[in-house]
Amino acid sequence: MHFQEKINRAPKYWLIISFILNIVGLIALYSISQDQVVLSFSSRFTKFIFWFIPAIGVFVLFFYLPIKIIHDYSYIALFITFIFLFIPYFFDPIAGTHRWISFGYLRFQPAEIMKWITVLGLSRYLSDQKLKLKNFSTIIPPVLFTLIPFFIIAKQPDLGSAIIVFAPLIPLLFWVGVDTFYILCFLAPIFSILMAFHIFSFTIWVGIFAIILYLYKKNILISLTLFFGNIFLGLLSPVIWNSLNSYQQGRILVFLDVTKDPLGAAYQVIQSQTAIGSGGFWGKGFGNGSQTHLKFLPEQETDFIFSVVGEEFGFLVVSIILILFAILILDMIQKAFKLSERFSSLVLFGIAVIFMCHVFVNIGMTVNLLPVKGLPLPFLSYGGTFLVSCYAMLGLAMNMAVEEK
Amino acid sequence: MLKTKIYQNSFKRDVSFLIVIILFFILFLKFFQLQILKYEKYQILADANRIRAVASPAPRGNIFTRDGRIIAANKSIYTVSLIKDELIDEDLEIQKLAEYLNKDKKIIINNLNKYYQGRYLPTLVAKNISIEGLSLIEEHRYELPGVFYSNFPIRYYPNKETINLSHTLGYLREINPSELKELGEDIYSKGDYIGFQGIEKYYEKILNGKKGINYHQVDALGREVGLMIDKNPVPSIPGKDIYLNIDYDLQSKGENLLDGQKGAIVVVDSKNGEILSLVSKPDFLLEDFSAGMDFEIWDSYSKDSSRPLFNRALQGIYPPGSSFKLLTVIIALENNLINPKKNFFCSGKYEFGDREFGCWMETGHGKLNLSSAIIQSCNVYFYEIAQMISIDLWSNYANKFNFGKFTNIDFPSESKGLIANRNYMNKKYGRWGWAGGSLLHLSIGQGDLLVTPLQMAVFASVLASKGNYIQPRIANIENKEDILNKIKLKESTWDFLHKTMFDVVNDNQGTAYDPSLIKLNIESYGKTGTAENAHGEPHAWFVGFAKKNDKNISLSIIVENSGTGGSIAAPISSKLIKEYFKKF
Repeated sequence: MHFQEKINRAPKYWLIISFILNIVGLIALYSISQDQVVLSFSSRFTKFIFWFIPAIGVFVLFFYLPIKIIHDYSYIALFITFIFLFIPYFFDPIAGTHRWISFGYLRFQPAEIMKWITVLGLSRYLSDQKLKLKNFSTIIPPVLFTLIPFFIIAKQPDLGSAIIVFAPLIPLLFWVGVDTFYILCFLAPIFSILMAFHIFSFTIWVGIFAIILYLYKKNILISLTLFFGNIFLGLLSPVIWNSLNSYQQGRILVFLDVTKDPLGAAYQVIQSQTAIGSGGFWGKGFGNGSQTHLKFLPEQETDFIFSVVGEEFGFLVVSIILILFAILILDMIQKAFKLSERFSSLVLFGIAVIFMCHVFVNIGMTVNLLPVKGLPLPFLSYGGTFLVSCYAMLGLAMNMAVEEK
Repeated sequence: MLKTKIYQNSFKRDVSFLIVIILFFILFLKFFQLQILKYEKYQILADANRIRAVASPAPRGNIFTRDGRIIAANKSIYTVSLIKDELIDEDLEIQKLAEYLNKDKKIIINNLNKYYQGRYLPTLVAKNISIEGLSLIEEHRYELPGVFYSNFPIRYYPNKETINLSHTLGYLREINPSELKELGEDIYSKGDYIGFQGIEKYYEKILNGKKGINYHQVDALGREVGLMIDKNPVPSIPGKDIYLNIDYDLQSKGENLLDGQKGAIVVVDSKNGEILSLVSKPDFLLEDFSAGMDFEIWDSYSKDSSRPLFNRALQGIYPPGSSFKLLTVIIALENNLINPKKNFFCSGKYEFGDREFGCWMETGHGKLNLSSAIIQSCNVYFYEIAQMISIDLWSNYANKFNFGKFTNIDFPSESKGLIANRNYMNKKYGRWGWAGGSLLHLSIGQGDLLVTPLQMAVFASVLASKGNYIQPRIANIENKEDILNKIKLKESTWDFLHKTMFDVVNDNQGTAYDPSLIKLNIESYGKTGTAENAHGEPHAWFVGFAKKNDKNISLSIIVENSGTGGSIAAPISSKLIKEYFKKF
C-alpha cells in the first residue's frame, strides 16, 4: 500500500487529540517552570520540547512500518527489551531505583518500552493460526510473557509500570476469545489475595467463587482444585504481604486511610486533592496555582501534572481532557472491533488498554481513587522515554487502524 | 499478509465500551465532587496552606500629663523568633544564633521552651537585640532557615530627666499563664507585656491595643515568598492615650524637693479631686523595667532598705501627728464641747492618772485658747479636750472624714490605714487594758491611728471645700465631678478652721509661718504635724490648702524621720504652692 494512501486512510484526529493533550501538558509545564529560566536548555520545558523530535520520529517509523514486519520482529523486540530490563541493575541506582539506563544527560526507561512491546509479543502469540483457543495450555506462555517482566520491573522497584505490563494480558485474552473460565482462573487468585486480609470479605468471596464455579459446569475435579487452591492462596497471602517492600506496603496501606500519614505518601494525595478542589470550575488561571507554585504539590511535572491542570484551568478543562481521552480510547476499541486482521486488532486493543490504564491510574491517583503508583499521564506528563513511548504506541495504533483491503 | 482473522461479536466491544465509559464516568464524578461540590472546602485548605499569619504588635497608648507633655511613650526593640518546624538542624542553628547574638545558648533554649506555642508558630527566643546582632543574623540568613526577627514595642520615657512618676505610672511585666487564661488568648499571647503596677495596670484595657495580623505567603517548606496580595492584613490598633491630671511642673518640682529623702507628696485640686502631683521617694527608674526584668536590677531594688519600689503616697501608712488635731477640733466644736475662747494652761506636761503626758514645748505654752493651741500646736490643750470626748465619738468622726477607708482612687493598690475604735481597742488591749489615756494619744494624732498621705490630702481638700468629699482621680478619663460625700458641719466650725489654719501659715506664731505666700496673693492654710515613731526622728507632716483667684489646691507632705513638720514639711509646701500658682 502506498504511504500516501495510508496517510489518507489513517484516523488522523487521533494525532490531533494527542497534540491538544500535549499542548495542555506543555502549558501546565510552562506554568510550573516559572521559578526557573523557562526557555533555557536545562529547563524541563525546553527538554520536553526537544523530546518531541525523537517522539515524532518514532511515531512516523511505527506508522510507516509494514504490519508484517512488526509482526515478524515482535518476538525479537520482546527479547531485546527484556534484556534491556536487566541493564540498570549493572549500574549504580539512580534515585534509589534501577529504572533508568543513563547516557550522559539522557535517561531512558526500558520498562516504558516493555509495556507496548509486551502487547506486540502477546498479539503475535495470540494471532498464531495454530493456536487452540479452547485449550487451557495455550494461555500459559502469555502469562509467562507478562509475569516475568512484571516481577523484574516490580523489583526495580516500579510497581506502577509493572502493573501496566501485566494489565493488557487479560483484556487481550478476552478480546481474542479465550474461554472466560480460564480468565476466571487468573482473576480468582487476585481476588483471593485481596480479600484474604478481611475474614468477612474472604468468606463472601469464597461463596461467590463457589457459585461461579458451579455455573460454569466444568469438570468437578478442576473446579474443586481451583476452589481449594484459592482458599490456600488466601491463607498464604499474609506471608506474601510481609515479603513486600515496606514502601510498597506503605502505599497500599496509606490508600486505606489517607489521614493516618499526612506527611508521607498521603501528603501528596491531600495536596493534590487540595490543588484540584481549589481550582473550582474555572480554575485559578495560568500561573496562579498557589498549591503548585508554592511547591506544596510534589512531582507536579510528572505524576501530578493533572493536579496542576485541575488547579489552574478548572473543571471545564478537566472535563474536556477526560472527554478527549475517552474519545481516543473508545475509537481505538471501535477500530479494533472493525478490523478483521487478528494481530492488528489485538495490538490496537492492547494499546487502548495501556492508555486506559495509564489515564485511570494516574488521574485516579490525583483524586485519591487509587493509591499513589507513580504512573505518568499520556501526552501530558513530563518524561522523555514516556513521550517517545506514547508516540510509538500512537504510531502503532494508527498503523494497525489502516487495514489493507 | 497475515492470515489469521478475527471475527468479533459486538458483545466484547460493548463490554469494553461499558468498562471504559464507567471508568471515565468515575473520574468525572470525582472531579465534579472535588471542584464543584467541595470547592469551598478545598479553597480554604489551599489558602491555609500558603498563608502564615504573623502578629504585628500594637503600640501601647501613650501617657501624658494634664498639660499634654508625654511621659510614657513607645519605642521599638528587635526580637528574634524561630519556627521550630522550619529549622533544618535545630541544634546547629541555635548554636549559631547564640553566637551571632552573643548570648548563652541555654538562654535561647530556655526561651524556646518557655514561649513555645506550637511547631508552626513563631517562638520568641531573644529580646532587645543589638544592631550588631541583627546585622549578623541578616548576613547569615541562609544558614538560619526558620529564624527571623521582628519589631517589638516597649515603653520609653522621653522626659525621664525631669520627671519620674515611677510609682504612679507603674511598669509592665510579661503576662503569666493564669493571666493569659483569664484575659483571653485572643488578645494576649505568651511573651506579651501587661500592666503590672500603677496606671499601666489600672488602665490596661485602655492602654493595650489590639494586635494586627500580617499574612505572609509561604511555600511548602515554610519559606516566606512575600506578603499576601489578595488578603489584606489586619492592622494593629494602637492602645488609647491617657491624660493624667498630674501637673508636669508641680510633679517635677515635688520630686526635686523630696530628692534624697524618704517621703511622699500628694497634691489634689480641692474643687474636683484631680490629683495634681503624687510623689513617693525614693523611687526607681522605670526604664530598668521596660524591656523585661533584669534580675540583678530587681534584686538591688528589692534589697534596698529605703524600699524604692514602695509607693509611700498611696500605700505608706503613718501616724498623722498634730495635723490630726484638726479632727479633734471639729469634734469639740460640732458637739459644743468647748468654747473656742476658753483658755487652758500649758505647763509643758499633763498629768493623767499616774502617767504624765508632755507637750512638745517642754517649757510650756502658758495660757492659750483653742485657736492659739492649734497655731502653736499645743498638746496639753488637746489633752484637755480629750477628757470631754469618747472613743466612739472620735472614731465616728474619723470615719465620717473617710479615714480608715479606701479613697477609691484610680489606682490598683492603696492602703486604708487604721482608725481605732472601741472594738479594736478591746481586742488589742483587753477590755480593761486601755482607758482615757489612749484617747489623749489619739487626740494629738498618735497611737492606734495610721493614715496615708493621700487620705490626708483628701482630708485637706474636704476642709478647703467646706465638706465636699470627692473621689480623687489620677487620670482624666471620665470628666465628672462626683462628690461622693457632703460632710455637713456648722458654718462657724468651717470658719474657725479656715481662720486658724490660715494663721498657722500667716501668723508669726504659726508653726508653718511663711509671710512670702500672702505677698504673692496666695492664701495658704495648713497644719503641721510631727509624728513620733519607733524608727528614730519624727516624721514631718504638713497638711493644708492654698488658693489664689479661683484655684484651690490641697496637699499633704510627709518626710520620714526628718524632724518637725514646721521646719521640714512646711517649707516644702510653700515651695510647691508657689510653683503651682506661678501659672495663675
